[in-house]
Amino acid sequence: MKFVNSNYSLEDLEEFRDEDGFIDLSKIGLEFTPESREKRGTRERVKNWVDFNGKKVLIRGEVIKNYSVYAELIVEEIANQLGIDTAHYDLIKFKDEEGKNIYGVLSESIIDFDKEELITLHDLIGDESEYEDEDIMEAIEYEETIRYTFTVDKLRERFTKAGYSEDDIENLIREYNKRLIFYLSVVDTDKHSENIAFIKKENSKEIQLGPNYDSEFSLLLERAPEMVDFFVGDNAQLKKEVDVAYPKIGIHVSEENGGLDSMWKDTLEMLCEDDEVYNYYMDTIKNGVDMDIVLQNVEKKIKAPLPNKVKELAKQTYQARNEEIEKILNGETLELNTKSDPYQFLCYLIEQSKGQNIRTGEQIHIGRNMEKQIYDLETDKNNNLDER
Amino acid sequence: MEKYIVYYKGVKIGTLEVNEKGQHRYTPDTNGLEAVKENIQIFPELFKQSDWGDPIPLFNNRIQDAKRFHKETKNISNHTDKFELEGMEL
Repeated sequence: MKFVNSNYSLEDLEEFRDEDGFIDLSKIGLEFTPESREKRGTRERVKNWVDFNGKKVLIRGEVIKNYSVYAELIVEEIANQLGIDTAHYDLIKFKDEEGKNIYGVLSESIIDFDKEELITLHDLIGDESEYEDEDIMEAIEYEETIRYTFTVDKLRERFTKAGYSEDDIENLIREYNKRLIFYLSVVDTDKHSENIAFIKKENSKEIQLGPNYDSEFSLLLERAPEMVDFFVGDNAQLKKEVDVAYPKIGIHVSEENGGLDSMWKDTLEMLCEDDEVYNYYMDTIKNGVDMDIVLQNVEKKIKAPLPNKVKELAKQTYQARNEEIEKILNGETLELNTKSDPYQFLCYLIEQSKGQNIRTGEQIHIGRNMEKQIYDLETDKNNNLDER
Repeated sequence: MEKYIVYYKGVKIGTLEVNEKGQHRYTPDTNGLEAVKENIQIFPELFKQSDWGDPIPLFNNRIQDAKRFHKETKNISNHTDKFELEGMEL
Protein backbone atom coordinates (compact mmCIF):
# COMPACT_ATOMS: atom_id res chain seq x y z
CA MET A 1 0.00 0.00 0.00
CA LYS A 2 1.25 3.47 -0.82
CA PHE A 3 0.26 4.77 2.61
CA VAL A 4 0.65 3.11 5.98
CA ASN A 5 -2.75 3.27 7.63
CA SER A 6 -3.14 4.40 11.20
CA ASN A 7 -6.34 4.46 13.19
CA TYR A 8 -5.10 7.52 15.05
CA SER A 9 -5.89 11.05 13.90
CA LEU A 10 -3.28 13.81 14.11
CA GLU A 11 -5.16 15.22 17.07
CA ASP A 12 -4.93 11.86 18.88
CA LEU A 13 -1.13 12.06 18.63
CA GLU A 14 -1.04 14.86 21.21
CA GLU A 15 -1.41 12.19 23.85
CA PHE A 16 2.02 10.87 22.96
CA ARG A 17 3.97 14.11 23.11
CA ASP A 18 6.96 14.01 25.47
CA GLU A 19 8.25 16.80 27.72
CA ASP A 20 10.58 18.04 24.95
CA GLY A 21 7.71 18.41 22.49
CA PHE A 22 8.31 15.30 20.38
CA ILE A 23 5.38 13.03 19.51
CA ASP A 24 6.49 9.47 20.25
CA LEU A 25 5.36 7.44 17.26
CA SER A 26 6.80 4.24 18.70
CA LYS A 27 3.74 4.19 20.98
CA ILE A 28 1.25 3.84 18.14
CA GLY A 29 2.64 0.75 16.44
CA LEU A 30 3.47 2.17 13.02
CA GLU A 31 5.26 -0.15 10.67
CA PHE A 32 6.67 1.44 7.55
CA THR A 33 6.30 -0.50 4.30
CA PRO A 34 8.53 -0.26 1.21
CA GLU A 35 5.55 0.98 -0.80
CA SER A 36 5.00 3.86 1.58
CA ARG A 37 8.54 5.09 1.08
CA GLU A 38 8.84 8.57 -0.42
CA LYS A 39 11.39 8.13 -3.17
CA ARG A 40 12.56 11.72 -3.47
CA GLY A 41 15.52 12.68 -1.38
CA THR A 42 18.28 10.78 0.34
CA ARG A 43 17.62 7.14 1.13
CA GLU A 44 19.66 7.21 4.32
CA ARG A 45 16.78 8.44 6.39
CA VAL A 46 13.23 7.35 7.07
CA LYS A 47 10.76 9.12 4.83
CA ASN A 48 7.39 7.42 4.63
CA TRP A 49 3.79 8.31 3.99
CA VAL A 50 1.15 7.59 6.62
CA ASP A 51 -2.59 8.03 6.48
CA PHE A 52 -3.74 9.28 9.87
CA ASN A 53 -7.46 8.67 9.65
CA GLY A 54 -7.80 10.34 6.27
CA LYS A 55 -4.99 12.87 6.61
CA LYS A 56 -1.92 12.07 4.49
CA VAL A 57 1.27 12.82 6.37
CA LEU A 58 4.96 12.43 5.55
CA ILE A 59 7.15 11.15 8.37
CA ARG A 60 10.78 12.10 8.11
CA GLY A 61 13.55 11.00 10.46
CA GLU A 62 16.92 12.72 10.66
CA VAL A 63 20.19 10.82 10.66
CA ILE A 64 22.47 13.65 11.62
CA LYS A 65 22.25 15.07 15.10
CA ASN A 66 21.50 18.77 14.72
CA TYR A 67 18.69 21.22 15.29
CA SER A 68 17.32 21.18 11.74
CA VAL A 69 14.00 19.71 12.86
CA TYR A 70 13.33 22.97 14.70
CA ALA A 71 14.14 24.94 11.56
CA GLU A 72 11.11 23.46 9.78
CA LEU A 73 8.75 24.64 12.49
CA ILE A 74 10.39 28.03 12.90
CA VAL A 75 10.41 28.77 9.16
CA GLU A 76 6.79 27.62 9.00
CA GLU A 77 5.91 30.20 11.62
CA ILE A 78 7.90 32.92 9.85
CA ALA A 79 6.03 32.06 6.66
CA ASN A 80 2.75 32.26 8.56
CA GLN A 81 3.58 35.75 9.80
CA LEU A 82 4.33 36.83 6.25
CA GLY A 83 1.21 35.25 4.79
CA ILE A 84 3.19 32.71 2.76
CA ASP A 85 1.57 29.35 2.14
CA THR A 86 3.50 26.66 3.96
CA ALA A 87 3.53 22.99 4.90
CA HIS A 88 2.63 22.25 8.51
CA TYR A 89 5.18 20.46 10.63
CA ASP A 90 5.40 18.84 14.03
CA LEU A 91 8.16 17.15 15.98
CA ILE A 92 8.24 13.37 16.16
CA LYS A 93 10.45 10.60 17.35
CA PHE A 94 10.44 6.84 16.86
CA LYS A 95 12.72 3.91 17.50
CA ASP A 96 14.95 2.35 14.86
CA GLU A 97 15.64 -1.39 14.55
CA GLU A 98 18.21 -1.18 17.32
CA GLY A 99 15.81 0.56 19.66
CA LYS A 100 17.56 3.91 19.33
CA ASN A 101 15.49 7.11 19.24
CA ILE A 102 15.32 8.79 15.87
CA TYR A 103 14.11 12.39 15.86
CA GLY A 104 12.35 14.03 12.98
CA VAL A 105 9.26 15.80 11.74
CA LEU A 106 5.90 14.98 10.34
CA SER A 107 4.40 17.18 7.69
CA GLU A 108 0.85 17.18 6.45
CA SER A 109 0.58 16.75 2.72
CA ILE A 110 0.62 20.06 0.87
CA ILE A 111 -1.67 18.72 -1.84
CA ASP A 112 -5.12 17.22 -1.93
CA PHE A 113 -4.21 13.85 -3.46
CA ASP A 114 -7.62 13.53 -5.10
CA LYS A 115 -7.60 16.90 -6.79
CA GLU A 116 -4.02 18.13 -7.14
CA GLU A 117 -0.57 17.08 -8.26
CA LEU A 118 2.85 18.22 -7.18
CA ILE A 119 5.27 19.11 -9.93
CA THR A 120 8.72 19.99 -8.71
CA LEU A 121 10.89 22.65 -10.27
CA HIS A 122 13.26 19.80 -11.11
CA ASP A 123 10.51 18.08 -13.13
CA LEU A 124 10.05 21.26 -15.12
CA ILE A 125 13.64 22.33 -15.74
CA GLY A 126 15.80 19.21 -15.43
CA ASP A 127 19.49 19.47 -14.63
CA GLU A 128 21.82 22.23 -15.64
CA SER A 129 24.93 21.10 -17.48
CA GLU A 130 28.03 21.49 -15.41
CA TYR A 131 30.38 24.34 -16.14
CA GLU A 132 28.30 25.56 -19.07
CA ASP A 133 29.65 29.02 -20.02
CA GLU A 134 30.95 29.41 -16.48
CA ASP A 135 34.25 30.02 -14.88
CA ILE A 136 35.27 26.59 -13.58
CA MET A 137 36.67 27.94 -10.32
CA GLU A 138 33.38 29.64 -9.59
CA ALA A 139 31.50 26.46 -10.39
CA ILE A 140 33.67 24.56 -7.93
CA GLU A 141 33.26 27.20 -5.24
CA TYR A 142 29.48 27.06 -5.51
CA GLU A 143 29.14 23.34 -5.86
CA GLU A 144 25.70 21.97 -6.67
CA THR A 145 24.17 25.39 -7.14
CA ILE A 146 21.89 26.03 -10.05
CA ARG A 147 22.07 29.33 -11.88
CA TYR A 148 18.99 31.36 -11.19
CA THR A 149 18.90 32.53 -14.81
CA PHE A 150 18.84 28.90 -15.96
CA THR A 151 15.78 28.19 -13.81
CA VAL A 152 13.88 31.21 -15.05
CA ASP A 153 14.78 30.63 -18.71
CA LYS A 154 13.68 27.02 -18.49
CA LEU A 155 10.46 27.86 -16.67
CA ARG A 156 9.62 30.50 -19.25
CA GLU A 157 10.38 28.10 -22.08
CA ARG A 158 8.24 25.33 -20.63
CA PHE A 159 5.25 27.47 -19.74
CA THR A 160 5.37 29.07 -23.19
CA LYS A 161 5.47 25.70 -24.94
CA ALA A 162 2.61 24.51 -22.74
CA GLY A 163 0.50 27.39 -23.99
CA TYR A 164 0.31 29.62 -20.92
CA SER A 165 -0.27 33.30 -21.56
CA GLU A 166 2.57 35.81 -21.16
CA ASP A 167 0.78 37.40 -18.24
CA ASP A 168 0.36 34.05 -16.49
CA ILE A 169 4.01 33.20 -17.06
CA GLU A 170 5.21 36.53 -15.71
CA ASN A 171 2.98 36.15 -12.65
CA LEU A 172 4.30 32.67 -11.96
CA ILE A 173 7.89 33.78 -12.28
CA ARG A 174 7.27 36.81 -10.10
CA GLU A 175 5.80 34.57 -7.38
CA TYR A 176 8.82 32.31 -7.74
CA ASN A 177 11.15 35.30 -7.35
CA LYS A 178 9.32 36.51 -4.27
CA ARG A 179 9.66 33.07 -2.76
CA LEU A 180 13.40 33.05 -3.47
CA ILE A 181 13.73 36.31 -1.59
CA PHE A 182 11.93 34.77 1.34
CA TYR A 183 14.41 31.90 1.29
CA LEU A 184 17.31 34.35 1.26
CA SER A 185 15.79 36.05 4.30
CA VAL A 186 15.73 32.81 6.31
CA VAL A 187 19.22 31.76 5.13
CA ASP A 188 17.95 28.59 3.44
CA THR A 189 21.03 26.87 2.01
CA ASP A 190 19.34 23.80 0.55
CA LYS A 191 16.48 25.11 -1.54
CA HIS A 192 17.37 23.14 -4.66
CA SER A 193 14.98 22.37 -7.47
CA GLU A 194 13.40 19.39 -5.70
CA ASN A 195 12.46 21.61 -2.77
CA ILE A 196 10.44 24.07 -4.80
CA ALA A 197 7.26 22.87 -6.44
CA PHE A 198 4.20 23.92 -8.31
CA ILE A 199 0.72 22.59 -7.71
CA LYS A 200 -1.49 21.70 -10.61
CA LYS A 201 -5.17 21.14 -10.28
CA GLU A 202 -6.72 18.02 -11.74
CA ASN A 203 -8.50 18.36 -15.09
CA SER A 204 -7.25 21.89 -15.42
CA LYS A 205 -4.36 23.83 -16.82
CA GLU A 206 -4.30 25.94 -13.68
CA ILE A 207 -0.93 25.91 -11.95
CA GLN A 208 0.50 27.89 -9.05
CA LEU A 209 3.60 28.02 -6.94
CA GLY A 210 3.27 25.48 -4.14
CA PRO A 211 3.62 26.12 -0.41
CA ASN A 212 6.97 26.37 1.31
CA TYR A 213 8.33 23.00 2.41
CA ASP A 214 11.65 21.33 3.31
CA SER A 215 13.24 24.28 5.07
CA GLU A 216 15.36 22.24 7.47
CA PHE A 217 18.57 23.84 6.22
CA SER A 218 17.65 27.32 7.38
CA LEU A 219 18.75 29.84 10.01
CA LEU A 220 22.05 27.90 10.43
CA LEU A 221 20.15 25.31 12.47
CA GLU A 222 21.51 22.50 10.31
CA ARG A 223 25.02 23.17 11.58
CA ALA A 224 26.69 20.82 14.05
CA PRO A 225 25.64 21.45 17.66
CA GLU A 226 29.14 22.58 18.63
CA MET A 227 29.05 25.15 15.82
CA VAL A 228 25.67 26.35 17.06
CA ASP A 229 27.24 26.89 20.52
CA PHE A 230 30.09 28.77 18.87
CA PHE A 231 27.87 31.08 16.81
CA VAL A 232 25.50 31.81 19.67
CA GLY A 233 28.49 32.78 21.80
CA ASP A 234 30.14 35.01 19.19
CA ASN A 235 27.88 37.31 17.21
CA ALA A 236 30.71 38.56 15.02
CA GLN A 237 31.47 35.03 13.90
CA LEU A 238 27.78 34.36 13.37
CA LYS A 239 27.53 37.38 11.09
CA LYS A 240 30.50 36.15 9.10
CA GLU A 241 28.86 32.75 8.74
CA VAL A 242 25.56 34.28 7.67
CA ASP A 243 27.45 36.39 5.18
CA VAL A 244 28.89 33.39 3.39
CA ALA A 245 25.84 31.10 3.58
CA TYR A 246 24.58 30.84 0.02
CA PRO A 247 21.46 29.53 -1.68
CA LYS A 248 21.23 26.50 -3.97
CA ILE A 249 19.60 28.58 -6.70
CA GLY A 250 21.36 31.84 -7.36
CA ILE A 251 23.68 33.96 -9.38
CA HIS A 252 27.19 35.15 -8.73
CA VAL A 253 28.58 38.35 -10.26
CA SER A 254 32.20 39.31 -9.69
CA GLU A 255 33.16 42.83 -8.63
CA GLU A 256 34.85 43.37 -12.01
CA ASN A 257 31.44 42.84 -13.58
CA GLY A 258 29.67 45.19 -11.21
CA GLY A 259 28.53 42.60 -8.70
CA LEU A 260 28.98 42.04 -5.00
CA ASP A 261 31.07 38.88 -5.45
CA SER A 262 28.66 36.97 -3.20
CA MET A 263 26.18 34.36 -4.38
CA TRP A 264 23.40 35.39 -2.04
CA LYS A 265 23.91 39.14 -2.38
CA ASP A 266 24.13 39.02 -6.16
CA THR A 267 21.01 36.86 -6.22
CA LEU A 268 19.22 39.38 -4.03
CA GLU A 269 20.23 42.22 -6.35
CA MET A 270 19.11 40.34 -9.42
CA LEU A 271 15.74 39.48 -7.89
CA CYS A 272 15.22 43.08 -6.80
CA GLU A 273 15.72 44.44 -10.28
CA ASP A 274 11.99 43.77 -10.50
CA ASP A 275 10.38 46.62 -8.58
CA GLU A 276 7.54 44.38 -7.46
CA VAL A 277 9.94 41.93 -5.87
CA TYR A 278 11.89 44.77 -4.26
CA ASN A 279 8.66 46.25 -2.92
CA TYR A 280 7.57 42.83 -1.70
CA TYR A 281 10.65 42.63 0.49
CA MET A 282 10.40 46.22 1.71
CA ASP A 283 6.66 46.19 2.31
CA THR A 284 6.10 42.62 3.52
CA ILE A 285 9.22 40.87 4.73
CA LYS A 286 11.09 43.82 6.21
CA ASN A 287 9.58 44.45 9.63
CA GLY A 288 7.03 41.71 8.94
CA VAL A 289 8.46 39.17 11.33
CA ASP A 290 8.59 39.26 15.12
CA MET A 291 10.94 36.42 16.00
CA ASP A 292 9.87 36.40 19.63
CA ILE A 293 6.30 35.71 18.55
CA VAL A 294 7.50 33.16 15.99
CA LEU A 295 9.34 31.23 18.67
CA GLN A 296 6.49 31.53 21.15
CA ASN A 297 4.08 30.10 18.57
CA VAL A 298 6.37 27.16 17.95
CA GLU A 299 6.57 26.50 21.67
CA LYS A 300 2.77 26.68 21.92
CA LYS A 301 2.46 24.16 19.12
CA ILE A 302 4.90 21.64 20.59
CA LYS A 303 3.75 22.38 24.13
CA ALA A 304 7.36 22.54 25.27
CA PRO A 305 10.15 25.09 25.45
CA LEU A 306 12.58 25.27 22.57
CA PRO A 307 16.24 24.82 23.49
CA ASN A 308 17.66 28.26 24.31
CA LYS A 309 20.48 27.93 21.83
CA VAL A 310 17.96 27.16 19.07
CA LYS A 311 16.03 30.32 19.88
CA GLU A 312 19.16 32.42 20.10
CA LEU A 313 20.62 31.13 16.87
CA ALA A 314 17.36 31.53 14.96
CA LYS A 315 16.86 35.09 16.19
CA GLN A 316 20.43 36.23 15.66
CA THR A 317 20.70 34.60 12.23
CA TYR A 318 17.44 36.06 11.00
CA GLN A 319 18.42 39.48 12.29
CA ALA A 320 21.93 39.36 10.83
CA ARG A 321 20.75 38.30 7.39
CA ASN A 322 17.90 40.79 7.17
CA GLU A 323 19.99 43.69 8.43
CA GLU A 324 22.40 42.95 5.64
CA ILE A 325 19.60 42.64 3.07
CA GLU A 326 18.27 46.03 4.08
CA LYS A 327 21.73 47.59 3.81
CA ILE A 328 22.11 46.22 0.30
CA LEU A 329 18.66 47.35 -0.79
CA ASN A 330 19.32 50.78 0.70
CA GLY A 331 22.61 51.02 -1.19
CA GLU A 332 24.67 51.17 1.98
CA THR A 333 27.28 48.60 1.02
CA LEU A 334 28.98 50.56 -1.73
CA GLU A 335 32.66 50.85 -0.85
CA LEU A 336 34.09 54.05 -2.21
CA ASN A 337 37.48 55.59 -2.58
CA THR A 338 36.77 58.98 -1.09
CA LYS A 339 40.11 60.40 -2.21
CA SER A 340 38.84 60.76 -5.74
CA ASP A 341 36.52 63.60 -6.71
CA PRO A 342 34.13 61.35 -8.70
CA TYR A 343 33.83 59.09 -5.71
CA GLN A 344 33.09 61.96 -3.41
CA PHE A 345 30.44 63.06 -5.84
CA LEU A 346 28.95 59.57 -5.87
CA CYS A 347 28.97 59.56 -2.07
CA TYR A 348 27.08 62.81 -2.18
CA LEU A 349 24.53 61.35 -4.63
CA ILE A 350 24.01 58.30 -2.49
CA GLU A 351 23.49 60.33 0.67
CA GLN A 352 20.95 62.41 -1.22
CA SER A 353 19.08 59.35 -2.47
CA LYS A 354 19.11 57.76 0.98
CA GLY A 355 17.54 60.88 2.30
CA GLN A 356 14.83 60.53 -0.33
CA ASN A 357 14.27 56.83 0.45
CA ILE A 358 15.57 55.27 -2.73
CA ARG A 359 12.93 52.74 -3.57
CA THR A 360 13.93 50.46 -6.36
CA GLY A 361 16.44 47.71 -6.79
CA GLU A 362 16.99 48.96 -10.30
CA GLN A 363 18.27 52.26 -8.95
CA ILE A 364 20.71 50.42 -6.71
CA HIS A 365 21.90 48.44 -9.71
CA ILE A 366 22.34 51.62 -11.78
CA GLY A 367 24.30 53.21 -8.95
CA ARG A 368 26.59 50.25 -8.76
CA ASN A 369 27.22 50.32 -12.51
CA MET A 370 28.05 54.03 -12.23
CA GLU A 371 30.55 53.22 -9.50
CA LYS A 372 32.16 50.58 -11.70
CA GLN A 373 32.41 53.00 -14.62
CA ILE A 374 34.02 55.65 -12.43
CA TYR A 375 36.42 53.03 -11.04
CA ASP A 376 37.34 51.96 -14.59
CA LEU A 377 37.90 55.58 -15.64
CA GLU A 378 40.11 56.19 -12.61
CA THR A 379 42.05 53.00 -13.27
CA ASP A 380 42.62 53.98 -16.91
CA LYS A 381 43.66 57.49 -15.85
CA ASN A 382 46.16 56.12 -13.33
CA ASN A 383 47.54 53.64 -15.87
CA ASN A 384 48.04 56.42 -18.42
CA LEU A 385 49.87 58.53 -15.84
CA ASP A 386 52.14 55.58 -14.97
CA GLU A 387 52.99 54.99 -18.63
CA ARG A 388 54.15 58.59 -18.96
CA MET B 1 18.65 -0.58 -22.70
CA GLU B 2 15.58 0.01 -20.53
CA LYS B 3 12.02 0.32 -21.68
CA TYR B 4 9.01 1.61 -19.79
CA ILE B 5 5.32 1.98 -20.50
CA VAL B 6 4.19 5.35 -19.27
CA TYR B 7 0.79 5.66 -17.62
CA TYR B 8 -1.10 8.64 -16.36
CA LYS B 9 -3.98 7.84 -13.99
CA GLY B 10 -3.82 4.27 -15.23
CA VAL B 11 -4.08 5.28 -18.90
CA LYS B 12 -1.21 4.36 -21.18
CA ILE B 13 0.14 7.56 -22.71
CA GLY B 14 3.40 6.44 -24.24
CA THR B 15 6.57 4.39 -24.19
CA LEU B 16 9.95 5.44 -22.96
CA GLU B 17 13.27 3.93 -23.95
CA VAL B 18 16.53 4.62 -22.19
CA ASN B 19 19.79 3.65 -23.90
CA GLU B 20 23.18 2.86 -22.41
CA LYS B 21 24.21 6.51 -22.70
CA GLY B 22 21.24 7.53 -20.57
CA GLN B 23 19.46 9.15 -23.52
CA HIS B 24 15.69 9.00 -23.79
CA ARG B 25 13.45 8.25 -26.72
CA TYR B 26 9.73 8.71 -26.23
CA THR B 27 6.84 7.44 -28.32
CA PRO B 28 3.41 8.85 -27.49
CA ASP B 29 0.20 6.84 -27.46
CA THR B 30 -2.23 9.21 -29.13
CA ASN B 31 -5.38 7.43 -27.94
CA GLY B 32 -4.30 7.53 -24.35
CA LEU B 33 -3.14 11.13 -24.59
CA GLU B 34 -6.47 12.21 -25.96
CA ALA B 35 -8.13 10.95 -22.79
CA VAL B 36 -5.83 12.79 -20.36
CA LYS B 37 -4.39 15.69 -22.35
CA GLU B 38 -5.97 18.39 -20.19
CA ASN B 39 -4.02 17.15 -17.19
CA ILE B 40 -0.56 16.96 -18.70
CA GLN B 41 -0.34 20.00 -20.96
CA ILE B 42 2.48 21.26 -18.76
CA PHE B 43 4.58 18.50 -20.31
CA PRO B 44 4.31 19.14 -24.08
CA GLU B 45 7.18 16.72 -24.66
CA LEU B 46 4.77 13.88 -23.87
CA PHE B 47 2.71 14.65 -26.95
CA LYS B 48 5.32 14.05 -29.61
CA GLN B 49 7.67 11.38 -30.81
CA SER B 50 11.25 12.14 -29.88
CA ASP B 51 14.54 10.90 -31.20
CA TRP B 52 17.36 9.86 -28.88
CA GLY B 53 18.23 12.89 -26.86
CA ASP B 54 18.62 14.47 -23.46
CA PRO B 55 16.69 12.73 -20.69
CA ILE B 56 13.15 13.97 -20.19
CA PRO B 57 13.33 15.47 -16.67
CA LEU B 58 9.93 14.18 -15.57
CA PHE B 59 10.93 10.58 -16.28
CA ASN B 60 14.62 10.86 -15.48
CA ASN B 61 13.91 12.16 -11.98
CA ARG B 62 11.56 9.31 -11.24
CA ILE B 63 13.82 6.61 -12.64
CA GLN B 64 16.87 7.91 -10.78
CA ASP B 65 14.91 8.26 -7.54
CA ALA B 66 13.53 4.74 -7.85
CA LYS B 67 16.95 3.26 -8.56
CA ARG B 68 18.20 4.57 -5.25
CA PHE B 69 15.70 2.41 -3.44
CA HIS B 70 15.03 -0.65 -5.52
CA LYS B 71 17.33 -2.95 -7.38
CA GLU B 72 14.49 -3.67 -9.79
CA THR B 73 12.79 -0.63 -11.15
CA LYS B 74 9.70 -2.42 -12.41
CA ASN B 75 6.95 -0.04 -11.33
CA ILE B 76 7.89 3.53 -10.66
CA SER B 77 5.44 6.04 -9.28
CA ASN B 78 5.50 8.90 -6.82
CA HIS B 79 2.91 9.50 -4.17
CA THR B 80 2.34 13.08 -5.23
CA ASP B 81 1.38 12.70 -8.87
CA LYS B 82 -0.42 10.31 -11.20
CA PHE B 83 2.40 9.19 -13.46
CA GLU B 84 3.58 5.60 -13.43
CA LEU B 85 6.38 3.95 -15.35
CA GLU B 86 6.12 0.19 -15.80
CA GLY B 87 9.42 -1.49 -16.63
CA MET B 88 9.21 -3.88 -19.57
CA GLU B 89 11.12 -7.10 -20.11
CA LEU B 90 13.41 -6.79 -23.13
